Amino acid sequence: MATGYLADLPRKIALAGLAILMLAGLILAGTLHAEAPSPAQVSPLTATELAEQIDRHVGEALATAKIPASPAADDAEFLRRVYLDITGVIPPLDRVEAFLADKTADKRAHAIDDLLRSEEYARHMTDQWREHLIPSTAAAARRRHETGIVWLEEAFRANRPYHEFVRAVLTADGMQRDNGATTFLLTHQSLDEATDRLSRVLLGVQITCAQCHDHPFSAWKQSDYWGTAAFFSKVKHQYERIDKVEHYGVSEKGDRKPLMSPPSFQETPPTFLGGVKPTLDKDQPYLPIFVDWLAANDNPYFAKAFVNRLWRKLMGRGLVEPVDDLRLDNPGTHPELLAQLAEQFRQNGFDIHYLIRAITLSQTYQRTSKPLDGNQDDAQYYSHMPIKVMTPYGLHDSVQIVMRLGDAPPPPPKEPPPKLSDEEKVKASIRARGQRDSFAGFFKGEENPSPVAYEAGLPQALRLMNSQEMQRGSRVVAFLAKKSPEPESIVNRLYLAILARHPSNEERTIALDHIQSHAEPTKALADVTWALLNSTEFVTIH
Amino acid sequence: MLPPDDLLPSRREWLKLSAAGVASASLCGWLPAMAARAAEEKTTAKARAKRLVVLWMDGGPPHTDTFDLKPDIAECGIFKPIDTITPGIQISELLPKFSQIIDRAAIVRSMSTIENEHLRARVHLRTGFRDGQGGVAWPSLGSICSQEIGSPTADLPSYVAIAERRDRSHGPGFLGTKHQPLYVLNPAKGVENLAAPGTPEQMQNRLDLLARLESGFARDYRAPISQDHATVYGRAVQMMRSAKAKAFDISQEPDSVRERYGKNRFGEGCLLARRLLEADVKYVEVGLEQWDTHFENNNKIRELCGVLDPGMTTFITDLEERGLLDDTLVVWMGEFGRTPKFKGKGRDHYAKAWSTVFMGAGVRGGQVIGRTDSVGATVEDRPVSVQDFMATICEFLGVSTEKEVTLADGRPVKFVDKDPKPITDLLV
Repeated sequence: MATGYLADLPRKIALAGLAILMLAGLILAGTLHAEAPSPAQVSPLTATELAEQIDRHVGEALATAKIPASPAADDAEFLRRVYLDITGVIPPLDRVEAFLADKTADKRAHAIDDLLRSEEYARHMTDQWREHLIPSTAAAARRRHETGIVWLEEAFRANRPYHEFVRAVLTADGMQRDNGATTFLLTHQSLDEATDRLSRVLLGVQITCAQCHDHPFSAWKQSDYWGTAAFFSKVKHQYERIDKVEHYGVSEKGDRKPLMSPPSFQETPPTFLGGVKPTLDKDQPYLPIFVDWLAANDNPYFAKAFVNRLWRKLMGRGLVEPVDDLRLDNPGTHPELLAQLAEQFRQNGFDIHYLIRAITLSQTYQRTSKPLDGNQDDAQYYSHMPIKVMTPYGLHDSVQIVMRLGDAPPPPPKEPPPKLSDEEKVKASIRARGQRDSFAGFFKGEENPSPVAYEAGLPQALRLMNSQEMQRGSRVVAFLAKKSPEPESIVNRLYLAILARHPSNEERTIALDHIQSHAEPTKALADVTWALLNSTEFVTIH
Repeated sequence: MLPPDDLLPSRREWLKLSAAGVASASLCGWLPAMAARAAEEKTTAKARAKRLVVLWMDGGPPHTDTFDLKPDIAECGIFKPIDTITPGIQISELLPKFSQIIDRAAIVRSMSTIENEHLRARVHLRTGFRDGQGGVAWPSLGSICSQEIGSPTADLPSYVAIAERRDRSHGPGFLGTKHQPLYVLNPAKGVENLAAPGTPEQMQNRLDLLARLESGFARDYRAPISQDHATVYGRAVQMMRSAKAKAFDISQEPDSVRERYGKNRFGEGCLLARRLLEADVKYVEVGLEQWDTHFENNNKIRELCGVLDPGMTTFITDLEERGLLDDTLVVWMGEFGRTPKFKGKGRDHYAKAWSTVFMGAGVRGGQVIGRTDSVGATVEDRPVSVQDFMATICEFLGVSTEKEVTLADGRPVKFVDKDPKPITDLLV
């Protein structure tokens, strides 16, 4: 909105306005550091209380804009959405049937808790964070990623507090074989690459442009850029060769060469965004000090950046957009809500589960995606849930969930589970990821795409229509027929298995008409399976 | 934005359309609007090029090792310049075959752009704008071609990118999903899953069923995404059914031809590009990746040029022999150049001064445009900015740089950033 507004003004006035904003920003940034509000003033809220606060903020904005809110999603719409959002996959048939039959009042809250404890949650978070933390450069591809991926999975499985997670990533010291968290600094080749990516992901700010010049439309200066970069200036990639095997690592100590500097490099002492220069011991690592600043109570970016990114993932749109452009002159749609979410995230020990729980428990999150006449054009007040698009990983895993219905059940897990060595864990992770990665790699579009952008192209349509794996519908039908061979019952359960809902009367009639006009009912039912898997509804999250 | 109910096809209409063999068109037919509607009128200016091929050197090729050598400065590289078929023009010894057809090529030695990071620079060079400039999702050149010179009813997509690396710099931006590229990852394999299993009747049955089952969701959720989905499926089905789709199968070429192009991704990509141009595809990008030589430059450049030289030379001569070169513009480029001096054994990104090459479509070959200083670090004559570059290509294609397109929010924008100065010398 801000850019549109400014675009309408004569240029001079706009620039004068910007200058004032920038000045105000500088002053404000300064005061934030000088007089930090005492954290004890705000007491921690429970997830349920925070969910109520979300609804209050969103409700007030809707009322002011005079936009009606859509009603709550029904159980089927909620379950499919929360599964896809938290675990990245559709709910399996048995879970859908059990949830729809469940009459207990707090079954939605229970479902959220179950999903946060699931293995699929750790996998889904890892899918996202490996993209955030490992660049897709040719240089990064030359390093091993697996130990880093296994490390991420373990961090999310254990729900490691976010600030500790980031501390482990930025202060990783040692060889990759001993510490998977070294993978992230190890896959960044230059000072500016590390500064660009990590400031964008962890601080949610775009200081990249200030690498070469003061940013014309925000307060970022070249000194902000190179002052931040200076914290990475002691990072050194380690290398050793043992028994003809090459090993890599990361350390801020030792005398290996530091990360490469680009031609635009400017020697600047380590400086926090906002201008404070910490006193540093030149013989000690710098990054622990940087992480202390990140996680400090008065850091204006760190918690907000995570909250905004998570909100965007769950709600389809960041409270601030672009998601990595937090600055004072870009306050976003609900600045007070963002501030409160960030504050409570911090107050609750940077507990990621807590934050997901609070958002998904809110009425705002649980509204239907079906618009009303009065809110169908709304794209920023959360009057109804935007329709998001499945990620390539989600699509792969969800097709698998459906197609595996026809497979023999997997052997029961061994009790107690076998103790795996680190090497075995890495190998198991590679095995599990191989097929998913090749599928997702084929369809993956841009880095960090908008959750609501439909980016599927012809290859995806061709694959979903024509590939061998999509022709296994008759096995799924045969499996469903075991319980009840009536076409109507099979159609009903195909809808539950693929779209996690019952068919409407209209849809049931269309499907049964198709079966009746067909000589072979099993093939006709396979056609229905095929059509549902190729539908818009299947590839979206609503 | 949503289709009113009466625009959705009834079952009977759907069947009628299907029977007439236009199911794909009807899949698109109930899609009334795009996010941003481009101006109704298509390009009218006089076009010299009917098609465009970009040979994309991903990662950024070093100008001082290819088309702008500095033999007097030892730090600028180890490769020697060689004479070409055009007296007075020298290029790298790594491109001996191409040196013999340099009379078909104009070398621009004065590219000067402002993005030094890969993704931002790819967006910059493919769209002509800085990433996110003005808060607008800018369309790539391929998508502009698809919109401006492509035919929405053609069997094959107008825009094909043979590329290992895919990202938003290839995207359609505000032009919308129907101007997305069709990616080919491996030119030897063509497009995967192009053949439908079962008979055409079975496929048609399934598509009919899909269209009928889709209508409930589109109605209840009023979602533009249903339109995007149907557009993509409509195009996919049309392509599956087209006889032209065999253009994607380079195995139909004689082995001698495949040898001449080179049996590697780039050579096969160039051969596939020629077949696609013959099948009326308007824009083909052929990628040659791995020019990002930070750590080791010389061996890698020797290897890459060993692939580039036969591939590009065969491609140009083949187009010429088939009469396609006269109205096909071919551009060789990367997202930037590389530092003229070494850093260790490698070269870093360098946008301030670098080279591109233009061929075909009436380009006067055997000439050099622009000049860098003695060490290849700054442009001394005729700097070419990204908007100059884009405007040049638009001029060839007859795409007006003055035409305004109205975005969904009502803002008028143009395909090329302000004050472009096309490289008119190319045509002299």
